[in-house]
Amino acid sequence: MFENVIADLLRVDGVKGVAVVSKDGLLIEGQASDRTIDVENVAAMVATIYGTALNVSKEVFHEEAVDMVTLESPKGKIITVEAGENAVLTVITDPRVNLGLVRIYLKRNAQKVASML
Amino acid sequence: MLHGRYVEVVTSFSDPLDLGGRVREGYLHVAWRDGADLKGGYLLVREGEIVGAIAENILQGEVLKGEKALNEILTAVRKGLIKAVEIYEANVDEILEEHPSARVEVDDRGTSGERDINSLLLLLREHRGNVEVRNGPKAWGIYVEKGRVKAARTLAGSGERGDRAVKEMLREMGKIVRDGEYTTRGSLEFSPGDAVEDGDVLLEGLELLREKQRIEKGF
Repeated sequence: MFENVIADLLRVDGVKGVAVVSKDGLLIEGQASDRTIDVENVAAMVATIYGTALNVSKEVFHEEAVDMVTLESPKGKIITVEAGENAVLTVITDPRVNLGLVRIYLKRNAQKVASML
Repeated sequence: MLHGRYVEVVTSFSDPLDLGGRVREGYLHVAWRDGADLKGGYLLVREGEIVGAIAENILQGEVLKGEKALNEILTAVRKGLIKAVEIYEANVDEILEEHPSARVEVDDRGTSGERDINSLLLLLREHRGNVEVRNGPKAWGIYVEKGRVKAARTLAGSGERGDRAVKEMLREMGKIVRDGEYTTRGSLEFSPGDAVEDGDVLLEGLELLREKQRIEKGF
């Protein structure tokens, strides 16, 4: 069902994997162009990171809302945005990806996911 | 990725190609899984007609344009692999300037021998209505909806109706493609006895014939 979203994001240079994940950590749909990425495992961990970020936001900013969570490592980035009430959309990228472009595509596709769920 | 203004994503449809009428000019973006592959495609539309197509294998990076792309996308449509369609408004002429080989033309009339079998396949897949096929003294009338034959009868010759008329036409298909004529113009009427049950057989037969021709030409 989310093939369009996944295809759109995988076309962006440097994006190696895409996943639509329920907030409780279940992979709804995903695909990686890099075979070493286990999308299902990533899905569970991303939901945990996102949930923790929400808690931090609540503690620090007194508001349980997060626009975007970015994990940066020397080997790459994982960027996650909310996609409707019950899901998040996440991408796994190369370290030198065009972050601005990825953000635009993530936001645009998160809206599509939200409207489809 | 083509430029354009995102309009909506549609997940509930009977035929994704019908959605082309929702924008005066633009494209439909589709994607589907084909085994382990993830494929995507763009159908450029103007006034409800498909005027261009681009298909790509997302993971392999291979891109097809024009009739080959349209065939790829229409095959996915026919197999029911497309679950969502994104609709975009866009300037189709600009896109076709950037991707001139994406252009497709579906003629509604001609001599089969003047074109390759792809043109007839495209016509049958795209068309919704009557098609009259002639080959020498034999002639058939069919009613087709996006590749599926709903009714058929002979207009001249044996007097076969329904599935038997389609099968008779299929037996003659090699000659029809080589020497015959077909048109979507003119009026035909069908009666209940002309109903076709095995509506996919004509397109499947034509696809097989195309494969046979490819093999004979040595690809």
